Amino acid sequence: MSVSISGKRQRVVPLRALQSSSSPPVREFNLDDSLLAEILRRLPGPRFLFQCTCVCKQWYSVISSPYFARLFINNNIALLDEDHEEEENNVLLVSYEKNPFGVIASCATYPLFGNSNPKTWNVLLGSNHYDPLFQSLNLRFNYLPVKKEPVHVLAVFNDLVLCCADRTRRFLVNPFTRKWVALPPGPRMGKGRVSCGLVCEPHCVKDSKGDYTFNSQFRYRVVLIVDAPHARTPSVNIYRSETGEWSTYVHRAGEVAEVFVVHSNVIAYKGRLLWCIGTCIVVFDPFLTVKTRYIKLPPGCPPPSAANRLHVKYSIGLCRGFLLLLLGKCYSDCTVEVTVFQLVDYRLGGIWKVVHKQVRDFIKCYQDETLPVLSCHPSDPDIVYSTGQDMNIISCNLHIKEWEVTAKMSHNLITVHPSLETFPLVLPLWPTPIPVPAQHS
Amino acid sequence: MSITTENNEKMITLMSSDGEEFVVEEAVAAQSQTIKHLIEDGCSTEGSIPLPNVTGRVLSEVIQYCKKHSSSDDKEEKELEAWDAEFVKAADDHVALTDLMMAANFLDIKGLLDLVAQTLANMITGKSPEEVRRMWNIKNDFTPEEAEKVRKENQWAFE
Repeated sequence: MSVSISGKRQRVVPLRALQSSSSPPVREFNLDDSLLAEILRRLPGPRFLFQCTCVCKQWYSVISSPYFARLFINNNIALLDEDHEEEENNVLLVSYEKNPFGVIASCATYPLFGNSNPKTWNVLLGSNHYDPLFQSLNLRFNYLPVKKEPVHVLAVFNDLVLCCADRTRRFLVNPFTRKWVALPPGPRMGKGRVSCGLVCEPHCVKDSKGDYTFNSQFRYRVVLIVDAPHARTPSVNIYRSETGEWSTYVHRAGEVAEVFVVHSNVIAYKGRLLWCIGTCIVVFDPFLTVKTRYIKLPPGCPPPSAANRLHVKYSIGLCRGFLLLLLGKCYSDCTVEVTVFQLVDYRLGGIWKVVHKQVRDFIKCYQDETLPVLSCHPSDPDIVYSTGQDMNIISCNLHIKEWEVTAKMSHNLITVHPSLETFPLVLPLWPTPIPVPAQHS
Repeated sequence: MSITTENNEKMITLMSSDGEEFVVEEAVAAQSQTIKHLIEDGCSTEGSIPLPNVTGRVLSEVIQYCKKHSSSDDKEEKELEAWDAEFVKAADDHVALTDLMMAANFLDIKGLLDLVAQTLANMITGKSPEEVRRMWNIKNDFTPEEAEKVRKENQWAFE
């Protein structure tokens, strides 16, 4: 307190208070939309960004605008590079059928995100509503208008999942955004093992100026191949997104006879669908611009047949943009031999390189069951996924010969003859929208 | 107004919104595209350049940045990065940083805008929406129903 010359008492105002009165520390956040976008586009990855939609209305509207989406992908362009996909957003989805001819699937889950070890790929097992683990993740598809769960996963392309419920109803779903569309019912198909492929045109494309932009009108194809045990040839149906119609595929001249006798998983690669048949890998173009192409299997690969189906298993996958072929052989003493081949020249399709050849006795092969070789790792060619004892999903490092349990299947679901399928689920930089269905009369 | 120093550097005067004057070398001020264009258009000859959107406090920081960046060349990139880091650290809180960002935007200084925007982005990375709101004093203007809807829409991002 001080006394002025006039003798009157005056209140002393601290200097700090005077200074801060010009810029109060509790001022509200007041950036305009364009400056807010400047900050938000620098956030790392889509996951955290979409959390920020909950902050307030302004943030929600900025992040939701198409202008911002383009800004964001162009800012994170390095991540668009195939080699730099954020590993935490990769998930291996494993789904299994209770019987080889049914469409009943059972699933358990594993955390999708928050992975501290970048070398591990999260494993998500297919879908069972009894499993408590499953509740924590929204891959349950419980928002689909189906009469009866579970929903069976047929194919995956990045973050789009094609699934089937009530036996014949098929949906294209983005489990991240929970957007979906029901496909029209296809032609009746015989009962049998269904192989399914889903391939989409890129959602994110480079424009003439070299900037990335979205193609919301991207086309996609669904290919269903039913290998009915009693039919002479498998029946093949293709769904075209731009017409919204199914059509039966007619075998083309020049195609090998067994082109649709599928002996592996079906994957999408560079706009084509690939699968393994008796003697080669089929490169099938469902957009029908190029003739079907064949890549010979590496020398020494036994042609799969009905007789050795349980003892020889092929699986194909992508690792760092290369095509990998995984061959699992099961011997009578229950040891498993795994060979990993890498295709060196995809364009010409002739040279395979053996990356690994290992006999593993630490994984039991269950008699009469499908061979436990499931999938490769998207960025580490040393790692293969497999089923171990008690049907756990294990990841094996073939280089250092170590393995660990990556996911546990719940025990009540271990059934005889599980037919395991794996799908790599990848969240791109921006979640893929579900294309607007074609107007069909 | 335009004065010349002994080194023959052309000087110009910038006037903040609260009337503070700053005499700087033209090369420094020209880091700002906005000022550069004003000079090119001959606006500076009629006296000082008024900057009605920038307070003296913020302008002095901006000038600090421009001085550093006009005197350094590419060789000193590492040192400049370290200086930038110290510079934004000194700005201290988000209010000062958002002020700086608005000034950088108005004055069109790309390097400064990038620097501040990245600093602000780093501040909120990994924080929950509640934490972001508290930290930056943002009002949650969603109704409970809207909040629920938006949260549901983006549920996957939280799992």
